[in-house]
Amino acid sequence: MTTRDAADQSALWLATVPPTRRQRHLTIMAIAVVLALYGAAAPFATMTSPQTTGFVPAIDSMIFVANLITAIFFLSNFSVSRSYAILLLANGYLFSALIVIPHALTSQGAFAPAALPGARPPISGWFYFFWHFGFFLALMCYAILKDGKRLDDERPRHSTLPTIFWSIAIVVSLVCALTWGVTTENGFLPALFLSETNSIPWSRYIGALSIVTGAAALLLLWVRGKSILDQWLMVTVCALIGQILLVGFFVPGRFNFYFAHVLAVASSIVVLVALLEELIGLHARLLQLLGALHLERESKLLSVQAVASAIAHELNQPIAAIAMEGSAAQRFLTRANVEEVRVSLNAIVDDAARSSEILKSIRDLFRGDDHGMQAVDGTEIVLDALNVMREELKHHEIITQTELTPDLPPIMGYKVQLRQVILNLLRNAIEALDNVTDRNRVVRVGTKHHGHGKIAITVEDSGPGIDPKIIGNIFDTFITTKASGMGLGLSLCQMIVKRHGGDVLVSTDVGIGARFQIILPTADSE
Amino acid sequence: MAMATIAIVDDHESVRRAMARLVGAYSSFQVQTYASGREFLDSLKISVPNCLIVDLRMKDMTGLELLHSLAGMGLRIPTIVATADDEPGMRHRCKLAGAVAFLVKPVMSDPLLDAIKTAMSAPERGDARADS
Repeated sequence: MTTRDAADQSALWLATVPPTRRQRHLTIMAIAVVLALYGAAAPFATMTSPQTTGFVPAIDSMIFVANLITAIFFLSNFSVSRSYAILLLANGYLFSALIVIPHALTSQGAFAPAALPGARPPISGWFYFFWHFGFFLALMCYAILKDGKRLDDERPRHSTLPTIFWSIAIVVSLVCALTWGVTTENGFLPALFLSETNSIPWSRYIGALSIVTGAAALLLLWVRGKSILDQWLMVTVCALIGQILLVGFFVPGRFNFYFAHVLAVASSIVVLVALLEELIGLHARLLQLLGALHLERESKLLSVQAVASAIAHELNQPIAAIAMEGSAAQRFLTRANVEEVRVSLNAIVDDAARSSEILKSIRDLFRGDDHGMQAVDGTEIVLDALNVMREELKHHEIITQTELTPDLPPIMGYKVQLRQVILNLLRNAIEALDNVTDRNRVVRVGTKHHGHGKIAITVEDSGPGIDPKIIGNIFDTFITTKASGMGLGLSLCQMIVKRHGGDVLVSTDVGIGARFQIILPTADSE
Repeated sequence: MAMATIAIVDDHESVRRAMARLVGAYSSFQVQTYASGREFLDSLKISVPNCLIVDLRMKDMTGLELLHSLAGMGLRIPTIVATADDEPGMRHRCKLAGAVAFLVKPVMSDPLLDAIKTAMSAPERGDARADS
């Protein structure tokens, strides 16, 4: 069932992708243009123009190529989507491609002698009927089956090749049988046309049957169709119905005969082009998705490395201290210097406690957040973080200024992680301000709208600023030149913000201060 | 002759103190500690130690930068680099900059004392022969 699930979920099949507003407008416009052109041609119905030998075969060969390509396109689609509806559609196109061959061969003036006295009346009209009737029938079946069975339902993981082979064999046999029935001397079908442009009266009922089938196909596509493909099929049906009306129902004249055929070719090519264009669009989207997937995998990998690196770096210092104090204590013991041993042991206990704190904070940072993603208020997170840091800020004689915007649109995120980011930035600011003695130590924290669908959280300090040499890779886990976890802290900040679909920007004026800005998308932006 | 001095430059207070106590416990050298490279450079105006133990990742100035500024000043203090991260190529770069030993933290007493012994026997403030 995996293939089916994948096909259902991917939403990348032309046959399953719902049309956008623009695409819907485009197809309605295409239908309107086709109908308008046919309408415009109707007044000239009685006009006659000179007969051009070879016109019908030329038109037919174009239709043959266009329909054959479309059939191949759908057959290859079937081998992936395994939908019987698509298989039927493919064979409908294959049938209309093949049936135009006898149509071309039997049309007058091309290969058959034109209106020879005593010759059989033209028989190509039958193929014209089969072509449209068969195609409409295939479209009807497609519309009925389109949400139905797939190959997998009966024979999971079965190759599609035998099914494709047999369907092609059936279509070819059908075309051969019809050709035989019409063309043999004792054929079972009577003549439809007296000449190429003059039909016998009851042939109109045959034309009417085509039109009714076409209308039924159109209706079914309208009711059951949801995809881009269905829209373009409707354009095709409209073009073909218009063609039958023009050729079969108005007084047959040579002008509209030519006109209708030219339009039929144009519309079948337009549909093919539209399908290809949609396909390329989908392909581009697929590539984009693949790129995004790759990026996500990379950032996940980076996060694993960053976490491992963070743990190693943060824990290394207390463990180093413990090891050295332990060694020192061993030495003091041999000298029976109990007082020094006590000092070492106290230091060891303190460092062990620090290690455990570090582990806890890293765990907190990367815990999936028990509450999951939730709508959070950026200003509230900032206030939370400032609350946590209030004593520390006061202790370092730092003036805290806030420019908070109330009622910011909420962001979807992990509250704890985002608060950790702000805490991290505040700690960086405090660290930077420690060296400032000649001016006020100021931390400015702000929240505001940031263009459409985004908010910005800013943490600024009046510290010495960041060396321009390292500002370019200040977020890089592996090029940390700053000590005491600052680089790592920032890389974690950036990672968390990126996981929320945002970004961290840094700017600095050397000697005046540094400014970190967190941009986050709001919950309603997507 | 005055007692030999060892300077320890590390921005982590607990590490700095523990290393000083370790060196103090196992040797009779006089130990001085500094929280940053800048602080250490300032102290050079008063006295120059016989041996330097330096961390690589530090605020303001990295251990490598400190080695380069010492070389720029023409001072060749036998230096032991003690760092938490053994980045590829870093060992080589430190040796090129004049370090006589490269230790990865957490540092145990024996390798540290061996390194100090090597440093102390290195040609003092003379040519920049790198220990292999």
